[in-house]
Amino acid sequence: MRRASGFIPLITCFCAVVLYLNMLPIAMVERPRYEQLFTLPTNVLKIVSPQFKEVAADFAFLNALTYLGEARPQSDTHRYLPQQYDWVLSTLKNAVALDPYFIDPYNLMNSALIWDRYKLVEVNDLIAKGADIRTWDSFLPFFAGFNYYYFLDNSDKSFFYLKEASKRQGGNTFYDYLASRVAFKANKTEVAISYLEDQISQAKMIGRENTVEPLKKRLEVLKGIRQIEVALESYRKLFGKLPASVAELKTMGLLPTIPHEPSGGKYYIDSEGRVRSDKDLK
Amino acid sequence: MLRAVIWVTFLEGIRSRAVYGITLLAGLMMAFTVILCSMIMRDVGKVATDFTLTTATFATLLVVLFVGITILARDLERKTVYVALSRGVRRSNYIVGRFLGLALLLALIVAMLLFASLVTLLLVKQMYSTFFGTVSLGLVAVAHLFVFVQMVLITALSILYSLVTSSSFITFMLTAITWLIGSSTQEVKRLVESTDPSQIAPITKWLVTIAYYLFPNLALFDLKSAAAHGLTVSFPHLGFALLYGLGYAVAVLSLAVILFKRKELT
Repeated sequence: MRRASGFIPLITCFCAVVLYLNMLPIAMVERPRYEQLFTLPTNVLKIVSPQFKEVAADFAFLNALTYLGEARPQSDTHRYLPQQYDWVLSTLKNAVALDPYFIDPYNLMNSALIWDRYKLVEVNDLIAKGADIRTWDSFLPFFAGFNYYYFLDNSDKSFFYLKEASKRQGGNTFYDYLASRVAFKANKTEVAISYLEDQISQAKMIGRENTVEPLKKRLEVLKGIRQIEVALESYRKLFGKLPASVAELKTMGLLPTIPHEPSGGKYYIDSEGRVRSDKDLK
Repeated sequence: MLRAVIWVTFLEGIRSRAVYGITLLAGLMMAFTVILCSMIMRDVGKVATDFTLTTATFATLLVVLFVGITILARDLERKTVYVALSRGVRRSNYIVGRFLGLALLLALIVAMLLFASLVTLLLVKQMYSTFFGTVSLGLVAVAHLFVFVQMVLITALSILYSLVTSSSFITFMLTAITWLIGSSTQEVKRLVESTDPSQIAPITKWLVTIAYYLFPNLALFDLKSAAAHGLTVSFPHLGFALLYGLGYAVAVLSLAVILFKRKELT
């Protein structure tokens, strides 16, 4: 009997713990949705987090990350509500205002907001600012350059950031390849050629010659395009119209020979009068 | 006699239960850092550095507030200061000895925290080597040195406050408020200067400027961001911060000595 009574405090404690664990969540005050979506202004956060700004930035980022993990997108559109995007953006803006060098908030902006096409200009401008601040990093200029090209159709800015991405540590020839395409798209074939020539000679200087083969091929394509572009311009000045084909430029004596297309394709003139290759730089 | 006061103060600090509690807290925070790193996308090294340096700042601040203040303010509150003075300790030696004893205690704690920080960071580096980023372990060590300088300065201020108020609670409040203001003045000044002058009352601007020059600018000693991202920190900046911190502490301590010499102990 005495041995059994010894278990009474244990059982009481067990019951109390079970009761506590079950009761506490019930007693928790449910916060309304608008209250959960409230964020403090950045300037206030900067002042109230003395010497702990970096940790405050870490928590702001984690807050946004876990929020996105928990929040469910709308079943019909597969998108979040505008106020949810707003909250995520302002929380991530706080994180980068508290620590502008912190890369993760920019990464999250890129994956959660840019690809959902939410406030594209504002968000990508923030990513570009991050690229300007993190002068050693090649990821952010690549993201910014890609977004300017793919989502915002701003080839000039895209070319600028892709060039930056290539220049920086971790940059590779893929960025150069992309940058030359963007420059071509922006109607700057000469810029693309000189940029690639520069990159190839730099790669040779630092002993990365084996990585430049794709660049060399693209450079040849661009040089061919440029040659035809010059002839095309003369044709336009002479006849005030576009030639029917590249061969016509040769027939008229404006082009000595049709340049060889190293990718195995053919050069052609599209309806807008731009010279392209049907294999590379379509 | 000075050496004796330094040693006694150091031993009093080491034997304080608060130090054990704070050390335990710092250890838990460092362990939490390792767990937290698993939730970070890319900048793992940066977050780990933020947390270890924040732990160092927070733990040493707690030591100043709960150990440093208690030692001196209790002496004055409970009149135990008579015991030392009646044994021929000069008043200036008493204040300087107390200060140096506390500085020695802080040096030991900062050295322990530096060791713990480096172990934590190396562990994180081992676990997430790809995502450790551009963390500079050298700057982490320098950041700890500046945490020490900052806390030495705060300790000097707490000694001054305890002489003025003779109450440990008020000294605690004043020291904590000074730390808060000192950590924010630079940011507030920047905010006031960047805001449209028509939107800010001249008195506000005036008060902010006074606070900026009067209170220590503790943001100068904050190297967390530089260490976490491996940013370049200029030697003139470090040299100025070091001189500023030590100069401010010496000035405050001199004022405390003058006050203590003139203080009527009843």
